[in-house]
Amino acid sequence: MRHDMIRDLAEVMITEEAIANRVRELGAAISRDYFGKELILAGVLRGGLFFLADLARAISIPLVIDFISISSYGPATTASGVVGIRKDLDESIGGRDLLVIEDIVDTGLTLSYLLKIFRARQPSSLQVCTFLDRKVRRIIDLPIAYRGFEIPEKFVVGYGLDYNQRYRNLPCIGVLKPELMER
Amino acid sequence: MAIITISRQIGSGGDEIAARLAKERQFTLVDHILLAELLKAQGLAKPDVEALDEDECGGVRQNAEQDRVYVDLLPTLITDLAAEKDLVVLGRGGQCIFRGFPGALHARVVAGAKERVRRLMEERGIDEHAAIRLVEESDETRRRFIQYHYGKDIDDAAHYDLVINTDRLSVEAAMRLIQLAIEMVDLMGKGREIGRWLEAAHPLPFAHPSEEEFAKVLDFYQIRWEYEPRTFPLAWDEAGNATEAFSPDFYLVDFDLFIELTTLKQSLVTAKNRKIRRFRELYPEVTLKVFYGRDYRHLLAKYGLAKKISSK
Repeated sequence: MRHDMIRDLAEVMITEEAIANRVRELGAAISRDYFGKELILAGVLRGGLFFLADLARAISIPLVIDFISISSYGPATTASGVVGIRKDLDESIGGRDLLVIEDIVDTGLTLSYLLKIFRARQPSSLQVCTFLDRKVRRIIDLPIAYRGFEIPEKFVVGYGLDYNQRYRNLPCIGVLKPELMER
Repeated sequence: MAIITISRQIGSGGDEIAARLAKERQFTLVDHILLAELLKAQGLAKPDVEALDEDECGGVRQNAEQDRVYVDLLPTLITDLAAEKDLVVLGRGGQCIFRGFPGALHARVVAGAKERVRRLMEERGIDEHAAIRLVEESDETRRRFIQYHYGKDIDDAAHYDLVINTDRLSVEAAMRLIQLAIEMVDLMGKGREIGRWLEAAHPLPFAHPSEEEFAKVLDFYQIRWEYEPRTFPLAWDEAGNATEAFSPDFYLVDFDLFIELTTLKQSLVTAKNRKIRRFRELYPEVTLKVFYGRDYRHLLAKYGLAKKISSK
């Protein structure tokens, strides 16, 4: 199965090994920065799932894991739509240290919404850790405390990122063959 | 489509009149239940839906976000519905949303306080003290709601085609009066004009569909924007009059950021690039982001909109 998915890639952009090394580095940095604090990792579903799972195990200090899922703008959205929370955090974050775990930040629109709602709940600190950063597409610049990799203007899949909900379980980051993309 | 708006005092029988009128004329009743469904379909969580309704908020909420959503979203949902269906709009400022539309009939149903208290005691099985309090609170909430969201006095008879006092007139008689008024003003005939009225009442300010779509994306993520709010002079004649100027498409208020969508073909971009270079020289303190054709097409592709928008 994994073999078939690899065959669908035109290019492996970030290998499984490079991901593991970088996640270890990020885990060490976060463990150092949050030592003695009450850390909550808030994973953004669904893309952030694999990164959060690996990152949490690379962090050596105690932490709490939680998830949030919000609707995205798209063709199915009605003209008068507003972003909606499909699944909210279960934990109360007031007075605690929240680290938002994203799979990828590109336009910054989703992240700006998330930070706004989290800020309103008054955590004692609020930072962002993203696995990938596609800066070239940024509309709104937001402070990102930890980033795995900066990537160019290419559509990528794997390690949580999907194309039509597939390829999330690919252990590397790759670019799909153009003929497999409808757009 | 034809619209009947019913503004009512609690205990006046207005709710029953609206429901029966909708049933009799086969109009869609826009009430709390329908609006809650529409809001939920927009992806709002249940507590947000409840907080957004008039009886819950009464225009005294402290949450500015919710106010903005209410002001922008509910009237849009109702007018979207009006483009497709004949409606009886119960409360929710219907008389203000459809103010000036010839295909709308605005009725207000009232009754004396004593009579309303008597009816509430009977209908809800509550004592006189509780009924008086209910009447006072409801009147105040609805008055504040209309004042807060539309800046109008709910009791000003000028907002209504009919004001019906149900102290002596029954629900049946009130309905007959409204039905008669519908025929007398040729409501169904005038209701056909809704498309043109909506366009005239809510004109889109945008020069191009790509800007409209971008504004929708910003709205979705609840990012405050202004469209072409500022013009920056770029060149002046000897008398000091501006001879060339640049107005970026959007200003994102919370981020102090101007955005220019330049989705022109590459061959046409040169002149604009020169303008933007000059702008950056003259106004280095102003943050501007420019989206060129390729960037913008990628942005649209991300949201699955690429096929909907032609190039600007």
